[in-house]
Amino acid sequence: MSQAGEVLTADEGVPPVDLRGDAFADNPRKVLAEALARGPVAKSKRGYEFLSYSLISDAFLDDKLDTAGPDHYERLGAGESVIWFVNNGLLSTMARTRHDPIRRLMLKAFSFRNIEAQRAEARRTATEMLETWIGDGEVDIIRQLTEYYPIRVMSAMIGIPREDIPGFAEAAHELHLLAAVPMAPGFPRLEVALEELKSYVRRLVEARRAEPQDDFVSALLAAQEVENKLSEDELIGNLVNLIFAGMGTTTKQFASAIHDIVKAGLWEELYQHPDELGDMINESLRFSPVTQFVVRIVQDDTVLGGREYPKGTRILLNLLAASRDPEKFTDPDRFDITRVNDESRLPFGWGVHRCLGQPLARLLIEEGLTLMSNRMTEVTVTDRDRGPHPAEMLGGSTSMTLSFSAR
Amino acid sequence: MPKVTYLHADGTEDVVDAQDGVSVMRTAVTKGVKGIVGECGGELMCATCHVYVLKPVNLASERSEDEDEMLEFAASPRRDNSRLSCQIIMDEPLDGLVVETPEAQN
Ligand code: HEM
Ligand code: FES
Repeated sequence: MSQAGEVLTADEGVPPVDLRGDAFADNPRKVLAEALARGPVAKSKRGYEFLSYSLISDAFLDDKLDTAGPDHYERLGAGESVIWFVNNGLLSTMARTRHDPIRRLMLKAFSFRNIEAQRAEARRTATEMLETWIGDGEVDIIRQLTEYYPIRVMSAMIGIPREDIPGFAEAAHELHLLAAVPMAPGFPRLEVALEELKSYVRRLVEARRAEPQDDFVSALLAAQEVENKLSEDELIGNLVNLIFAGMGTTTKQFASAIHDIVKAGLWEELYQHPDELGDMINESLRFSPVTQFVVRIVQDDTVLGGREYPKGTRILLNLLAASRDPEKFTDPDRFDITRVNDESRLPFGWGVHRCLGQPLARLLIEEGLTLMSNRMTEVTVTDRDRGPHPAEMLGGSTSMTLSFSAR
Repeated sequence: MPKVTYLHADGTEDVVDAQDGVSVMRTAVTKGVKGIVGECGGELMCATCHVYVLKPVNLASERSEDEDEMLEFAASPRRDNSRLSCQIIMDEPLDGLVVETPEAQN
């Protein structure tokens, strides 16, 4: 600990942490817990890793930090479409001068009332999917539910006809490469996928412009014409972003929630006490956060946690480490739904980039889990893969088999 | 130091000394007052700092256009005296401010 008032340099005495070696691949939580025990910051090949809950909370609200912008993607050698997307569509990377008004506009779609209105659609969609395998006694719940259920509901909300989804689902899925570490090898595939999505959304926009309907695309078009708030590129880019932003994240978080609840022996508890659903989801968001880190670039010299970080420094807010910070959470490695005033505020981020889709993500998981617990009993996880390397941005399995009896 | 009173839906209240120049949202968050979240950090981008202003009554009309728009997304019903508390900056003339926190912020 530094003396009060004494400011250290970013580097001074900061221990390294190896996120590439076997130890991290085998047991990421152990490596991070050991690093956190040494101090709130560690240095990896990615940059400075902020590990403690309180330091990350401060960093999310520090206006000298911002997300990596378009220049970052240019330096990595991204192609034309990726650069177009980070400038016009990807809300989390675009310049604050565009981000702020566009985010306010997008919030119109994501207001609690609008999201609540999707509940019936979510229930209907999940039920339809479940009916196809409920008699089988065994299911890959990711392939057969959590992967395509969010995109179907999101599409209904935006105003995309159900029959169009198969035409772009693969391309939308490819955009997860934007979260890959390293990102560069994925650039050629990203170019192809983005071109496909752009041209689909462009056709959709044209159709709605010709014949407006009661959907989000038409509402955005109306806003564009009256208030001149969005350029044509921004309109298309942001729709592409909405299609994809909630896919990988919600898919994996939903699957992790199922896994955590089953493993904690709480499946029947959920069935008998549906009022505990919210606590279970919150605890799973903490216990198994899908977004394992977010990136920040120092925009102007700043002091955080008693250290000075010069402009241009790359900082990683390591949400995986913070979610098990023993200073914040008692007995952090225990899945405990009775934590009082102790839920994590970090899984959806905080500050101006806080997740826009949070209410929708929660609603999707709530409806999915409620349906499953009402229809399935004796649920066990018989198999699941380990998912991508734990140094990737999004964590969680890509395939998970459940065996169960229908009820 | 100007004082702010926060009345809560459960009938309890907090009376807090605020610093000049600090918002009613930030004052609540730093003093651990419940009922105000402030997700976006005061950037008019979340509406989780919604309050109903009880005193002084004229404060409710001092909303900017952006604040007015953001209030539409508040989780609890908007009323005539709704404000986003990150936009109310404390100073001596506001001493004795009374706000009510809504049922839900998110
Ligand atoms: C459980 C599921 C989800 C999790 C855990 C999650 C997590 C996050 C996190 C941590 C951020 C902050 C990124 C940063 O600060 O750099 C974020 C931003 C964002 N999320 Fe989500 N997300 C989820 C689902 C969704 C859904 C369903 C949507 C809706 C389409 C969505 C849309 C967005 C958008 C647009 C942003 C950028 C906001 C901005 O920069 O202003 N997310 N999300
Ligand atoms: S703190 Fe976000 S709008 Fe006030």
